[in-house]
Amino acid sequence: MTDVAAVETIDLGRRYHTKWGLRDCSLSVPEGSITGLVGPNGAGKSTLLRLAAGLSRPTKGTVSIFGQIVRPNSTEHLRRLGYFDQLRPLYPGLRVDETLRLGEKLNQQWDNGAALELLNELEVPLTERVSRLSLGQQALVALSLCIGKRPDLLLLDEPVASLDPLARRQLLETLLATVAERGTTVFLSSHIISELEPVCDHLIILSSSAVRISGSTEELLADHRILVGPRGTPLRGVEVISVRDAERQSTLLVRGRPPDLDPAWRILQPDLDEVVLAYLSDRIAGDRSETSDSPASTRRSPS
Amino acid sequence: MSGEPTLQFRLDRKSGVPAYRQVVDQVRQALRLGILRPGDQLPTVRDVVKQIAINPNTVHRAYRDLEAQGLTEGRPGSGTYIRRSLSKVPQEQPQLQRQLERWMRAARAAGLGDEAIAALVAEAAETSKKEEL
Amino acid sequence: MIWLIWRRYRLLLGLAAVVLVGLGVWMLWAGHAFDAAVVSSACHDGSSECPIYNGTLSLSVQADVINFLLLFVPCLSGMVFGAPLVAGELERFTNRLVWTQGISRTKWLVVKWCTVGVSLVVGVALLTLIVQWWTGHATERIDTNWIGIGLNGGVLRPLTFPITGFAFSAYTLFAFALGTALGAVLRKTSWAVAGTVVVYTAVSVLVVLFVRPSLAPQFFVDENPVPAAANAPSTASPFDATATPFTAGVIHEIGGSWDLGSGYRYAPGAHVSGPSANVAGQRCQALNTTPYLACLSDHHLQQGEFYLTVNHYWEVQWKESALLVLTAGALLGLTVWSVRRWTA
Repeated sequence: MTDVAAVETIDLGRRYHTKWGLRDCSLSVPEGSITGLVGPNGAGKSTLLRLAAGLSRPTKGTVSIFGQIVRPNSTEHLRRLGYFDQLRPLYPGLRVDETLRLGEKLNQQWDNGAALELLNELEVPLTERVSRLSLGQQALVALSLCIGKRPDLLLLDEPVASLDPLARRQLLETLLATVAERGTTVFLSSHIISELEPVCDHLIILSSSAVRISGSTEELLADHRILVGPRGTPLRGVEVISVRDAERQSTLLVRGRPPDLDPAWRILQPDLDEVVLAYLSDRIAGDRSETSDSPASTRRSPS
Repeated sequence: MSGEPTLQFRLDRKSGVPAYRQVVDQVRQALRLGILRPGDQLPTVRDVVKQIAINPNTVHRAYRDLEAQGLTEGRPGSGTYIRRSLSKVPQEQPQLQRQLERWMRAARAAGLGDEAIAALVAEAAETSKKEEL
Repeated sequence: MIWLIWRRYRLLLGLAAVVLVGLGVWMLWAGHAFDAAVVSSACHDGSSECPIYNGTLSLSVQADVINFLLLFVPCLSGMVFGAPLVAGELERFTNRLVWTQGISRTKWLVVKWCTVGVSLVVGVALLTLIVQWWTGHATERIDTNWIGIGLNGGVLRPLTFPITGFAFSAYTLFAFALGTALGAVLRKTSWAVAGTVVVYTAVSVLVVLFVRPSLAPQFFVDENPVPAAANAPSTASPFDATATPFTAGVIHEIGGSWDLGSGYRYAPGAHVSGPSANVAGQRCQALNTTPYLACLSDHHLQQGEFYLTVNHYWEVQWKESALLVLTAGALLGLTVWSVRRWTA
């Protein structure tokens, strides 16, 4: 395994007329990882993925795939990546098997068996027209187009959005099985964090067109703590990410290891949902309802 | 596909236990209960990941842990196999169990209900962890 | 990739083939019917009252309709095939699918453009063979007074010229390239369709007014010819019909030429400086003192009728077609540039 990141951006920015869709974005996605890109709608997730896929041209900065700068009009980067767009565009008049043939004809390398395996396992009818499939089946067809390409990197923009729970599960399982077999790097965006928590080993939190924080999920969880104490209790030596005040009590999410704390503070271990929310809460909070679909978790002591 | 997997995993997202530990624990539990015996093959990483949607690296880590504990061995090109079984009951437990039963009788005598007992237990566990840090 | 283009366009191209074949069959039938009517009549000798005139009225109307429909073929090609070529993909976001597989945008566009464009041109070229045959039959002279069915007697006429020879295929290619370019730049099929109609019509009109008349030397018939001196060369008879590309028969109205209208010119060989012939001629017209004709001869001016004669038909055909093909190439270049520049 080399040290080249699967995706690397340096000062990447994309402006639409007067508004920046993405700004000062410098991040790297480790090879072989499953990296989640989380943030509310309009945060710049799709912009970032489209820049990485070569559909968008940067206004500033660069984006590279495995060390090679992405240029929209070349095919170099396309060889190694499979891109799954948020809109999952397919040709509605084509049948499923014809859609796979599209993949075969337009790509230099193609493994029809791999693409078919997924569809057969999940019993997607191969002779049906794409327009007659359910949304979930269409997403699976789009994913199998990516997988048949045998890419080293998968860029997935909201792959499980608006899918029913079963389809969601099937898609994730397929994805993970591919990763297990081939060590493919996966870079996927979502605003449903709870699904991603056991799946992602790295996380990038995006909000208001900028990266808030990024790193491995293990580090993120180890690095942050929830402090609960009476309101007005003094606090030193930590970076406060978010605060929630009740009448007599304050709940803080902090980063860092508090050196000496007033004993009135209780230290708790947050889960990933809470860490992400904390970074998003002081900005425009998009779909909060989606991130809280798991009921309030019980507090646990830090390990 | 070689038929039914030897073990069916389950992920409890709300328990707060990390996923890799749950995998390790479930293999150990299966060994204790005799569901897995020496010579059985553990499900492949791919199969585990299809049962519970977790990161494959997590499964790799769990399997490495089990190998480090001497419970499994990897045969190249073949998979991961159980090497030895687990003794059913460790020595210390009967003593701890008796101590706990004594404490429980005392707590009941003091008039503590289930909730208060649970709170005390949770607090004590927390404190002991803090002392470890 | 060609498989994909055929698969997606099979319905549309099939429909186009049906339409072209239908028109071809209609032309063959009408042409044969006309032949039969001519043979069965006694109108070979040029008598002024031709009894078959009424009988072939419906054929005449049909010929007009066929001509009219053929005129639409290039523009329709641009609207139906050109406009959605790029714009349709952008509107349905399928470009996000095909531009992230394994081929570059440029290759995708060029292959798609050429495959569809060549199919259209080949279809129209085949139809042109039938058109060539049909125009010959439709313009066979019956008598000097009768204009000839449908085509108003001349293949150089503005309504006939673009559906014959190379021009038919060239205009089709041009309209297709125009539609594609507009679709790529405007990014909406509906706007590209409207734009194609507007621009194509404008170009057609402008070519007729300004370009085509200059593509070959014009033939001039002096309205006030000087009585010929013994050794002066005579101006050619306007009824001098050189070989036509169609039949051995003579085409009415100045040998099938295109009447460009009247105007002035400086006599050949005369020293030309100062105002243009038309300006100088109009000055002469405005004068009250000097007699008009004297003024003309003083300034070496001639007034008469300009024609584009039928013997220049093929020269004008290939020149105009070349211009159209070059323009289509430039439009393809514009389309490629626009596609490469596109960013999500």
